[in-house]
Amino acid sequence: MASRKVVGTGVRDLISSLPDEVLGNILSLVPTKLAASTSVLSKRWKHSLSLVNILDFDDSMLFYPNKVTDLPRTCFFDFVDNTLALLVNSQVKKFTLKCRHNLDTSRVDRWIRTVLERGILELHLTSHEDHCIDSEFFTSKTLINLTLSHGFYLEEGGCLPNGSVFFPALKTLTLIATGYGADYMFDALISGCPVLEELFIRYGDGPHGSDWIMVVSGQSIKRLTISSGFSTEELEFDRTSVLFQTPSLLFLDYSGYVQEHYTVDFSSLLEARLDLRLWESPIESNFDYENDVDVDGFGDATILVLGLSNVTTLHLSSHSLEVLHSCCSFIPLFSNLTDLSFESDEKQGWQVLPVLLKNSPILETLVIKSLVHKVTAKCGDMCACILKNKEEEECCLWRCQVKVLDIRGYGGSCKELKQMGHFFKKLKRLEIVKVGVQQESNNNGEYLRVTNDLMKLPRVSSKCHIQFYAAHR
Amino acid sequence: MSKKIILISSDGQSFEVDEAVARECGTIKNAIEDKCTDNGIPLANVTSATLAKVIEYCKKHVEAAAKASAGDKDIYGSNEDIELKTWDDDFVKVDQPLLFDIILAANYLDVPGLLDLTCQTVADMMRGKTPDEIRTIFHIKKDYTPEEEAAVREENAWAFM
Repeated sequence: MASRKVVGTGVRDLISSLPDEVLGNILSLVPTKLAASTSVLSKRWKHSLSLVNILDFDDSMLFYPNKVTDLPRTCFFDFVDNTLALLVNSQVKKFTLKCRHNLDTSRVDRWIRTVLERGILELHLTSHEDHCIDSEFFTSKTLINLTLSHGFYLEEGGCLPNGSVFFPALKTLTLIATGYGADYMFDALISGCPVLEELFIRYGDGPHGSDWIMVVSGQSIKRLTISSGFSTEELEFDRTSVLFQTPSLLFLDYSGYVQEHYTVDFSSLLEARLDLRLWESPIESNFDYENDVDVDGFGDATILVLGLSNVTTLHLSSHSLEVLHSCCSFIPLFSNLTDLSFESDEKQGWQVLPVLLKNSPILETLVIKSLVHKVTAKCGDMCACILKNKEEEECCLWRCQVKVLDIRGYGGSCKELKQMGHFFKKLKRLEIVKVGVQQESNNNGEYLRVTNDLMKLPRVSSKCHIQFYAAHR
Repeated sequence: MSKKIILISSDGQSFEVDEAVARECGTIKNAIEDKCTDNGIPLANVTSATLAKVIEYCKKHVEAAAKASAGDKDIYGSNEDIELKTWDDDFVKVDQPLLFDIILAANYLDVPGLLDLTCQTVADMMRGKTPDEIRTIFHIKKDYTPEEEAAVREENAWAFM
């Protein structure tokens, strides 16, 4: 064991006596700037930067942001150059670059080429300013994880690498607000990653992310997340078709405004999360919410929902409930669905739920985030808001096979209590009811009242048993 | 009935553990496969206090892995992962001497998860700190002359801005 340095009061400097490889592990987990600054700690640390195998450069990171400095801008670029030179013989596994300020484009190009040539595994690039990557040399046999964010993009019409193969080993690709609108380079990139398994796209945040080609075609993709920023800027209505050609897809998380046409291949899909929203023109609303009349709106999600009908697990946002109600000409049979969860809020109604439950014959688990919803005449027998005639045989809940009911975020109001009473009276197969009670910090009296009220409700299922837990908002 | 392995710390204390737990340590796994475990495995570099912590970690993670493969996945992602993460966060709330002893033990015994966890803990202690603050936290004594220090700072100027 190396001898330990003793300082002053007998408190020991243990970190300096760690072996190089362990110190290298630790320094690889902090920003490279910090790792480099440890060279000044003591002589043992002089060459600490050479021990790292992960590089993380962020040009906006400053120890002393208020200190006026007359060091030139090239300082940052020199730092990256020096570090890459220092590690020329090391196996650098991961390279992250975040640029908020002006770029020296030729140096950035050189860095990208250098790390790709050195057999890197992960590359993450973010830039505030636009930087066009030289696509012809944007290739590596070892890269498994790539992120292009904001300013970094590939030029439409640029040369492709040899054989059109960008990254033969890439498993994960993340594109954040890179603005691939109407271009084939996006498609070329996806096709050029033949073993891609996970694709994450973030779009619709404003200028950089306003466009996404709305096509995903990948034979090997297993997990797909398409996340929309729901920008309220005027949409370009000339692109209204969405194509998902993803036969190996197991998991889909899709958010976006409802479009007019969908073409999908989700033949392997097991789980889907959906947050579809209606585009609401700020000028005039096309929807007659007051009378809940189905007015001809923008968008038809029928094919999309049909494509999802073989999943075993489905999550719907509150907006999606509204979209399924007003933008689907029919709700398909969900013959494999065992787990359904949805969220509600006071602006969206539950009109689609009766038919959704009727069409889910083997549903076992129902998770509801918030019972509060917009009261409409068409919630049907799903909810207890409006008094019905005594035609209980037709209630969608009678035939429901649900065994587990989980209410996340229960406030204990009268309306919610009535709703719970309705569930207890109708769900014949209920075995476990989990209730996540929303708690005000120290109001135990309130908590007891809420839980007691629920425990007193009559239950049609003799096996039904209630568990309470604390819910966070 | 699972086989038990005996681990002996540097200060002579014996710990009896399930084979599955012992196998979380790469070096012990190799010893088991080379069949040299009959009289217990002496670990000259690991004190009893440290070994107890390493065993605690391995046990918890073996249990968590068994639960994960047996149970059904919760619909909003696995609750188990959050529980395990919270357990890990509490596990590393120890003083520096013990933390560094665990790091060295995890390195010597080859327990990758524990090494990653403890290295991450140290990295988190360093984040956002200036060199002076780091010296204070870890009791590092400066041994550069002013000229030597100035030279080091100039070499990587941006690192000190």
